[in-house]
Amino acid sequence: MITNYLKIALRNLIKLKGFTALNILGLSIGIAASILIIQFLRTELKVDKHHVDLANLYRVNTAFTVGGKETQTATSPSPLAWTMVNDFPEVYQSTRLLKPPGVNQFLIKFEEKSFFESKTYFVDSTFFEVMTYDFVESSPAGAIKEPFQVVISSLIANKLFGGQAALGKSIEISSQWGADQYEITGVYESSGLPSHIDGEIYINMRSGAIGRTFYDLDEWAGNNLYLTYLKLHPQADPSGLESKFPDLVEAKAGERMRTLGFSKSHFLEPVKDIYLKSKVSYQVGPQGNQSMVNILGIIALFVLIIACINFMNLATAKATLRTKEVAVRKVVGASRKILSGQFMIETILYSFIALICSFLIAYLVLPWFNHLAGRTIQLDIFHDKSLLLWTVAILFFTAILAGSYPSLYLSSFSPLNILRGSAGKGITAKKIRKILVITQFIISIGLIQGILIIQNQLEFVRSKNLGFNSEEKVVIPLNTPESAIKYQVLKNDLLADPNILFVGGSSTVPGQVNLNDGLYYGEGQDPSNNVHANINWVDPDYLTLMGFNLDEGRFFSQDRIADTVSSTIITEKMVASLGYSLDDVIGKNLYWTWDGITRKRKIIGVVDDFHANSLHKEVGNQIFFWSTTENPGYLVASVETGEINNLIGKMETTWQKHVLSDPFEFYFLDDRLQSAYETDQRMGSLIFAFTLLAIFISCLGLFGLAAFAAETRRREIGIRKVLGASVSGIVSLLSKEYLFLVILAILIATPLAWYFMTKWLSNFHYHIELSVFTFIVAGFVGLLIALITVGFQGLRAAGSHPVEAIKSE
Amino acid sequence: MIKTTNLTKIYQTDEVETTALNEVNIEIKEGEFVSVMGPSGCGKSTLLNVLGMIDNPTSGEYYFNGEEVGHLPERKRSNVRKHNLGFVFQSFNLIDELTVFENVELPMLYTKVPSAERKTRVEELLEGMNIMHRRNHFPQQLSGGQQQRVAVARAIVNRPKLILADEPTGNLDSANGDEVMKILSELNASGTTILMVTHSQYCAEFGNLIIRMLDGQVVTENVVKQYL
Repeated sequence: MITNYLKIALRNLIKLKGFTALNILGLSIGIAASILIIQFLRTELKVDKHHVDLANLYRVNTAFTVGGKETQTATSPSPLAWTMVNDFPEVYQSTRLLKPPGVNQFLIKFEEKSFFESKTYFVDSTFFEVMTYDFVESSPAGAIKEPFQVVISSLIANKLFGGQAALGKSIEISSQWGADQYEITGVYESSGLPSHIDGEIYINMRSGAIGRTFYDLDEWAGNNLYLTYLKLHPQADPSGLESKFPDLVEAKAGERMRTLGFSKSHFLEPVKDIYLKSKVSYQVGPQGNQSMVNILGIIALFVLIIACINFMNLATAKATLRTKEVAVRKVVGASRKILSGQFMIETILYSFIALICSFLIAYLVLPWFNHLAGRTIQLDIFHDKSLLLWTVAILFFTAILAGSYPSLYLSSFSPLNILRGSAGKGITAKKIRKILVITQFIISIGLIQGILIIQNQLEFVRSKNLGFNSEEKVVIPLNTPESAIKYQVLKNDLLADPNILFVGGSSTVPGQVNLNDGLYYGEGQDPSNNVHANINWVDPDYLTLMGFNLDEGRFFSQDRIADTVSSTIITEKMVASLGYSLDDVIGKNLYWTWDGITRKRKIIGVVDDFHANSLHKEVGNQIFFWSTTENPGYLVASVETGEINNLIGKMETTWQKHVLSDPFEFYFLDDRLQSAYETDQRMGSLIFAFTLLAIFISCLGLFGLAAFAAETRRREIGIRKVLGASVSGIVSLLSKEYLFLVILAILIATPLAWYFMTKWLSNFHYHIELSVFTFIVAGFVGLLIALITVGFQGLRAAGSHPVEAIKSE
Repeated sequence: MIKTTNLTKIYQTDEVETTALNEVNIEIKEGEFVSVMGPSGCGKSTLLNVLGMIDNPTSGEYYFNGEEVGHLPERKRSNVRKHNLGFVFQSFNLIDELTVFENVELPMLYTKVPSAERKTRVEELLEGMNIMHRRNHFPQQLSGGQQQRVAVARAIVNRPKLILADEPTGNLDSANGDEVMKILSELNASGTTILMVTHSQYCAEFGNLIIRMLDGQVVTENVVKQYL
């Protein structure tokens, strides 16, 4: 029986080549898009899922309250980890990870090779017992037990030693804190198990000057610099454990926090949720984006649904061509159930062919997709069992969704009606086809509206005034004492080049994590009523070259040496936070109290607020101190970018002349700032691409339906033409039905898109306001696309010879 | 074999009610060859459809082999149909996408006849109808007469007790028409009951009983020849 079904299905497939091509193309593109998105989502959802005892792994985050405002960070104080293990029976094991403050890169050296690596962390010896890594040399147990031991990724091992074994080799790791030799005691596979921690190098925390300072720092209130991870006992109740935190914080840090004028609490965040869901600051790796994952997942589903709707529409539209077969089969004894089964088998056959084509398409576009997604996704159906399962699931989902309605519809034909010639022209089927077309266009127009808003927001991010000028700025990190001490000579030499306009130095630059902060208050205020601000230690030229806009007062002046010890420049927001007004803030003081000693600086200038971090976050309070004693962490040069490659070459020569120990590294400030939106950009591009696909598939379906409608109305068109109808009249006759459907789709899609895009925009602290205009444009685009698609068929029908059409009846 | 009591079929549209069969009472015995005649719209095709169980009567009873089948649900009607009835249509109604062999084989797929037996039966029939050489051709590659012979082969392949033929020669020239009527007569001679709707007096006389209809009613029943 099945052979008979397959035979007739294949013969129909060949006989109706046009419909077959449309159906298979639509389904193939839909399935290919879904497979690619699913593979991408799998890589996103895989992060951290490999850790042993994942269900019991947590990070202890901190919520700070300063001046009534709460901020949450991934970090916590040094003693917390060990206290947890010792005092709380729920905790089985703990470990800490530290990115030493002020160190953004470490210089790694082995014999003649040297390079900077920012993904370098100091960890406790228990790190590899709590977190799971795939070791290719040595094993996690005891890999990092002793000071001056280091575990590196296979990427770093390759960089340093080519293909040779790394175990037991000694490398030098240096930063502003000095240089030390480290023994490599383990190598793990870097591409194997994705983690929210982006580390490439893990150093035992008891090592060197950093170890001496940070390993057993006995500070509970401040210095929340460590990421504390806990492994709980399987039967432990995390919320029960959390309820013990307030008493612990009060006992250990309560009094000191009150003196310092802030409060804090700790809370647990499951490690499994960190990558996609965590919203706290000071993460140690790029974050995923749950809402984007959801959006892409929905798009994958939508694209597949649109393709299935095409199939349904085309299958029911061409049903008139199958009525005789249905009638004959029923007359000779086929029941409705048997016929439904037959048509389902046909759909499975279609879906299977589409599946094969979809893999071809997916393989072809994979490099482009990987480029867009910033991933190295693979499609190895023979070895990736999950992919195989997903593929089978997609096949059946598609077959059931696409085939159920047509099979029920086709099998419902009464043989009597068919023999009387009235089946297949049912009003119900036509209505359902209309509903399906509306559904397709609701999805397509909703997606067009969505991408327009996403593009507008990303453009807003690109073009927003950040409060400084990030263009034509070359940033050179001064990562080691050797380079930082050469700041002044580097500056003088660089300025000798006419293409370098200004050179300035700062402890931090926008886009970098700035852990240098303090709590401040204004004149006549209670020290406990303080506000949090980040500190920027700068030299006077930095403020000018960065283009900070001075609202009041003046910048630091080389002529007023007292500025180095007694003055500060603050941002506009800081003025308000201190309770001052812009008119009379100049000359007033900024106060802070630390360890019982109160200090002050006179406010000599106010600059516009600036975005030191991405626009996802609210702009913070910022203050500037003139640094003469501290060497800057960054040298920033304002340059003419006409012959930038030449200029960078000259800068490198200058660097090598003065800094013999370190390799030259630089970046462009605007590029680095944009990288904060890389996830958004990538997701935006992916959504854009798949929206185009969804629209294309919708158009394929509409094209097929319009062709079918034109064919069934061929005689009518012929008669109309004989009676004098114009081409435009015929086109409008065939188009107006779809015009109405698309307008209805616009009306339904708009509020839905409005709701979901409002939710998406709430991820950004600074975002565009939704404009009715965007929705109108999107609707118009959808309408235009539909009209072009249908109009093409209308033109074809209008162009046919009327005599042929009439004769054919 | 067939007995109807006050068999009535009314078609209802929004505004019009048409009585296609009006209290028809007929009886057909096993082995008879009955021709139904009458002008267009008299209800003969409706009678054939109801007796062929592809349509339900509005009222009245229809007994097939002693069982009331007029009001059975579609699933049960389909079951009775596939085991007992064969259909021959004026327009042949062969499935264009199936070959001659596959078209004839089709009814046996639904009665679950084993593959080997299907092959034997189809080949025997095609031999008998002189179209074996066309077994792998598609219907559109055959002449009208050949197509109708295939349709007849399909109708009898399950060895039905009753064959319902709706204007079987209507689309054929006289030579081919004669050929088909000859086949039907032979089938009847071998014991198959035949109910045929026709406009042709010539064809009707191949049967042993002619039922004449007018406005949904049986007006006369003429015995053409008596079986011995």
